[in-house]
Amino acid sequence: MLVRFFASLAGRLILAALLLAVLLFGISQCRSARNAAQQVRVGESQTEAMAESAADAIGSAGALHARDLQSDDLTRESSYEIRNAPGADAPVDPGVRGAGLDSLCRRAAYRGSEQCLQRSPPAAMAESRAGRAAP
Amino acid sequence: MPGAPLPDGDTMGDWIAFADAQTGQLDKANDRTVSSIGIIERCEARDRAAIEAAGQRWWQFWR
Repeated sequence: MLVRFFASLAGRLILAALLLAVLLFGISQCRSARNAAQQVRVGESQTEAMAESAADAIGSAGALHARDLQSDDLTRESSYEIRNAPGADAPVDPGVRGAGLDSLCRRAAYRGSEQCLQRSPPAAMAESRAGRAAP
Repeated sequence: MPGAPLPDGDTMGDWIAFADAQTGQLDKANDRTVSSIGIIERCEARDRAAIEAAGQRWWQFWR
């Protein structure tokens, strides 16, 4: 009965459709399994890269800190040399000193500093004027 | 990066030492910028390489 049905044209068409459906289902299952496997591989690879980047960041921060310390050492050595060089004790005119401090106090880096807050504007201006009046 | 301490004296030495210290702070700030950008660039490159390495080539049909 079944054999006779599949021997007919309609039966063959239905059989072909069934085979096609099974084939398509198989391909889609295979593709989704491969996609899942690829996602896992990407995830593993990215996790490994992240670990390397973390180690890189830690190493870079350490090297940066070491260079900071070297720079501070150089600043201290240079300061000593500058302050002991001939002419280092020469006084700076109070006018230019006041104007210099005023300029620095207008910068964001120093605006809130104790030294700038202690410099009231009238006092600073008087100091600046006194310096300008001096020959 | 904070600025160098303001000069508290009124001699040439105080101000020139301040200028040098300020340059030192600038060097440190620039170093931080270069280091930070380097960390980010290398991190992004590693991420790109990881995605490329995990991708399937046409001949690797079993993956």
